Amino acid sequence: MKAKTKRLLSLTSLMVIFAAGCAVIFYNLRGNLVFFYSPTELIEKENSISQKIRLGGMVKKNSVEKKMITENDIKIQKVTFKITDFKNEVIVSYKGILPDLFKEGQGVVVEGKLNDQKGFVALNVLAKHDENYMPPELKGLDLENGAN
Amino acid sequence: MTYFIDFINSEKHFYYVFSSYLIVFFLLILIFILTSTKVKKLEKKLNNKLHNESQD
Amino acid sequence: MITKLANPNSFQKLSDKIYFPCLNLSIFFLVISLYYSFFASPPDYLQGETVRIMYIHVPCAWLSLSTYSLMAVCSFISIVFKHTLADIISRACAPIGACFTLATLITGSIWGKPTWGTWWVWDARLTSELILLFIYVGHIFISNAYNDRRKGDKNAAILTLIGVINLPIIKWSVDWWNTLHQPASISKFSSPSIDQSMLVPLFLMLISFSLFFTTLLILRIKSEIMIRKIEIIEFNQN
Repeated sequence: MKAKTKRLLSLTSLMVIFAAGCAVIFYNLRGNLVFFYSPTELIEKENSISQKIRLGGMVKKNSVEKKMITENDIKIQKVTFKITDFKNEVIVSYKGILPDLFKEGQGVVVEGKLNDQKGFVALNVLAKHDENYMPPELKGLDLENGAN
Repeated sequence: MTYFIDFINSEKHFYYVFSSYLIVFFLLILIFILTSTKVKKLEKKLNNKLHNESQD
Repeated sequence: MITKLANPNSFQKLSDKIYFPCLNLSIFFLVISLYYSFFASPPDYLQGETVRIMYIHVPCAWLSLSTYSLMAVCSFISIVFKHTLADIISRACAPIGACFTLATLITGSIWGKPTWGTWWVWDARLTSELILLFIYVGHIFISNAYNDRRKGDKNAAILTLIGVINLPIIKWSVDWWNTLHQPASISKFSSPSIDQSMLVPLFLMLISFSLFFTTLLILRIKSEIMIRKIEIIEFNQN
């Protein structure tokens, strides 16, 4: 066997083995690599209350309530809303400024803890953008067609 | 043109977009200048060597 | 044809011929795409004006991945067939790829602040792209770490081949795992979920950046070939 063919065969087989190994590792790591849990996963998982977790989903339409409260003589905005994955929903409360893209019917990821009443206390709110890009003129058009 | 005027007037977003374009073009121009100066230097060196070699 | 191109001298003749057309075309497309991205494309219905960052973010990201793919092919050829040109191309690619990856990370971060409300999160897409940057930097360091250049070439090639596993992770991380980063808007199997008026500047910018990549690659290959020629002359003199 020529040295070249030998190198070709050994390198190819090494790479196949390496790729297979990585595939196995990542397949098993799948559950640990998620950035956030959906409401259904959160309810099924029964997380311990003290653990800091991330929860993601859609902000349920007409569920956002904002009110101003005074805490230590500073006015803060308190927001409560429901995060849904269209199967289950979780009530989230948050104190602070929301990102500009936070809107009803849009994706959101919140970071925080479950409290005892099955509610979620968010310390951080991140807006999740979807893969759709379009000019504002088309927005109204799309809302009529894209009712789900 | 109205798009551009709207863009210039969108204070906060304008700075985000402008700075990201600035950084990308700075990076690309930087690597281009570094590479072309390297090529020029090497060309000089190679020509010198070739010249010396033909003299030997 | 391929054997002819693989000869560094004839490769250089060809690359000298296409260098200026590439550079000029790249600038030409850049001007058009800048016009489209600032004057002829609308803001997004949700993100507003920050959508314009996407026109440079996405081409940079695509190029950071395709540069790596080219490096991986060259590393494979370098190890199996021991061809000098493959080593030269790998060496020439790494700094360009690192540049595009850094540009991707920075523009993505600047886009993330107004859109998500954070500069950085440790989700699968962002983390794997950061690892790509580390691999590029590692490649540059390893290939220059040895006095014997061929040893550096070999070890850098091995690193590149190990790092190939990162490519599918970056590409499909948004589909495999829950990430904050949105899934791809343009895929082979479905019509793009980007409006046409926003696709035009995106593709023009991609053409411009790819041509600029080719220009840079030609320049860097040229310098690598010259370094080797100088070494041969020095070796003969001693």
